[in-house]
Amino acid sequence: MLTQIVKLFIALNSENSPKQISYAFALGMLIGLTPLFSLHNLIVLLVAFLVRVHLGSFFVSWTLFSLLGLLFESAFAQVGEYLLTATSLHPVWQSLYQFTLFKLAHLHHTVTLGSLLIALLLFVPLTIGVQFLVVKYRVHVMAFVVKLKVVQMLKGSRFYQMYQKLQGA
Amino acid sequence: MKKYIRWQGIAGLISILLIFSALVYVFAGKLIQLAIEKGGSYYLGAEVSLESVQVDWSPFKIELNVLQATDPQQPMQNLLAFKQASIEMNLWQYLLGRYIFEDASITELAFNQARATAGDVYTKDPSKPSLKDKAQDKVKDIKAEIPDVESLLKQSDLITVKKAENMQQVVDNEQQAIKQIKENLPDQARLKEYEKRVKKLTETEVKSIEDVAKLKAELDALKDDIKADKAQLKAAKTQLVNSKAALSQAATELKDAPQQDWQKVKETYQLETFEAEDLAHILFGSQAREYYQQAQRIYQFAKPFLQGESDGEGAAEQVKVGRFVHFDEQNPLPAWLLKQGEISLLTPHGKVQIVLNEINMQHWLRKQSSQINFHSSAFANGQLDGTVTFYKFENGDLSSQGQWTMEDLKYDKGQASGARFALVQSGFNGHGEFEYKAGQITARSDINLQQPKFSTTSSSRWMKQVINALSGQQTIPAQIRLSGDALKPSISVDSQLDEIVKQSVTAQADAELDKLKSKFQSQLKQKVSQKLNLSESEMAEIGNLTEWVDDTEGTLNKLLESKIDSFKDKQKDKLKDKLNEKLGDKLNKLFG
Repeated sequence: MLTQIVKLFIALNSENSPKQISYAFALGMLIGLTPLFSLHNLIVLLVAFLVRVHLGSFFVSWTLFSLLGLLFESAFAQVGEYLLTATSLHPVWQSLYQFTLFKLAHLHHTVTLGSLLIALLLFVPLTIGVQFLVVKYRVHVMAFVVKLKVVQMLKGSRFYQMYQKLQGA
Repeated sequence: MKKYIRWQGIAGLISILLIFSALVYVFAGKLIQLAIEKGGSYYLGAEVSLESVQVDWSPFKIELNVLQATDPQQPMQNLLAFKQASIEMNLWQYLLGRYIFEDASITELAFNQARATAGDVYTKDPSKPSLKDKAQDKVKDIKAEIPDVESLLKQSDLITVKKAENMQQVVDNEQQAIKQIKENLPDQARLKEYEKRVKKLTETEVKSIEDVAKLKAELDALKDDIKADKAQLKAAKTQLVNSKAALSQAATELKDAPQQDWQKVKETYQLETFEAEDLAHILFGSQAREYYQQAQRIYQFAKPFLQGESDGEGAAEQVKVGRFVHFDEQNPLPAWLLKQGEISLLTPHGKVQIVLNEINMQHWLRKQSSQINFHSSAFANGQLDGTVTFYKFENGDLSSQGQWTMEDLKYDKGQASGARFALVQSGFNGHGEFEYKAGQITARSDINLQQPKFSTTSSSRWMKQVINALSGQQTIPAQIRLSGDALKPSISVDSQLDEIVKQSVTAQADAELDKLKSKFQSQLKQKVSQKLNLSESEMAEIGNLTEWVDDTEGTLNKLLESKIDSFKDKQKDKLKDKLNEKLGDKLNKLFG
């Protein structure tokens, strides 16, 4: 976990595009909020590894949102329960249920459906928000942070040097 | 494109997934074993051990070998143990959110079996008795022996004792009150004095107006004194009436107390209903209850697995937080289903083979009932067969039927039971059936006891006679019926035992009960009579005192009303005469 935080810190202070970090964060949120062993998470993992997003940010976000996901699990279940048992939506679910993929994705599970829906709704705002924050950080805060003694010590550490070398290679 | 796509990432992901899959493949058995051992121990509060777990992937099958779950109340005993259990699961259906088991088997399943070494116990709450302890306590609670008089009389909560104490208290209080009244009442001397004062007043010569005034003052003083005494007498009368009422009530309560005590004793020791019928209950009823309690324990254990699918469409099983919601499909499947299974159950009476078919709790989906068949060719040296079917409807109602037969079973307890009346040895033949619908059960079992032998720990002479009479019978048929609420059924037993006991010893038992009743009541009456005598003497005194108060009051009234009034009249007449004389003299002087 410490490695991931260092990676995130490095990313924030590096030349990495804010978009790479923000998309990574949003993907991490998607996998963190929803139940891990779900079909859609395989796709999220595939996208995260395939597309050039910042993996360090992805893993940090995954961890953070997993904790939040545990906290809000019952709320997700209520949302899913409401949607899956709504009379007006019954024909939709009824026809989707006939597809194996729907069942394989566990979209007929209250927590999976509720959390996925909320995560998808949050995806764009979070991406934009994080991107905005990274830009602001780099303009206003980064110079101050870099001067901090702790950061100086961190940058002088063997671990940081090694990581930089490896990244350069 | 290269700017956005990281092709090597795919390799990384595949590597991670492969490593993860390989770890699961290799360590699945160990992980399952660990989960069962740790989870089971945590749930049970005692050691759960599993020798090994084998996982086959195609078809997906888990095999558990030698499981032992320690009884937390008795560490030298297993709550549950089996030699081998295997379960074949449809992995594809699992991925779709259903638990479909194609096949399951448990061999040498045994409950409450001795362990080779004591199992670890992690939590133990001594204040919480086990179900078995509770059952044993119930058996001990059955009061099948007539109590002796001495122990009954020693009981501190006898109503008679309480009422006698109350009587004593009332007598003491009233005695004190009467004593006070006596002290304040006018005595004979006071009455004589009043008479003297009246006489003096009536004989006094009135010569002047001053004399009249003086007489009036004396008369008023006498009246006041008499009135004061009259008030005392009135108060005394009220107190006497109250005392009489209090004593009468206490005496009535005390008189009724022995009868109330007898009623209480009859209820406590079930003497009123303690007839042959109860012997049958003790014999079959407790046994039937024991079996039924076992069935209820199994039901309570299985209840969480059986609930949650009663809502019909859109219903499913609870999986921690959240649930799967299933909808209509062409070939609907229940949320969980065991297509077939087999259990070989080891009981103290022999091995029973149980065959399971179509076990689930959403029968309306596949329109098939669940079926459980059991068979044993060596159950208590006899043969046991039975079938149970059940079907849960979409509206949540459960319907179930079952039947069973047993032939030439031999029951031998081997050692003397702690119960006051118990079956020690017998042959059994019988058959039975039951039906369950919407929480209501009706069950009927016909049993024939052959050459039964009974035992008793009672020293009661008549109870021994009952045992001898029953043990001498070749066969005793009995019908046990269960009906009503499935969780609290009423059990009725109809047995020839009643007739046998009635014919042989009921008369004697009745005589014993009558003797007990008369002895008990006579001893209570002795306790009562002493207090009642006390109350009667007090009542007599109150009667005498009331009489005296009435007399005195009468005397005073007479004094007040007759003599003083006549005195007044006399004095009036005297004054009138004097005035007339004076008036006559004056008139004579004027006209004479």
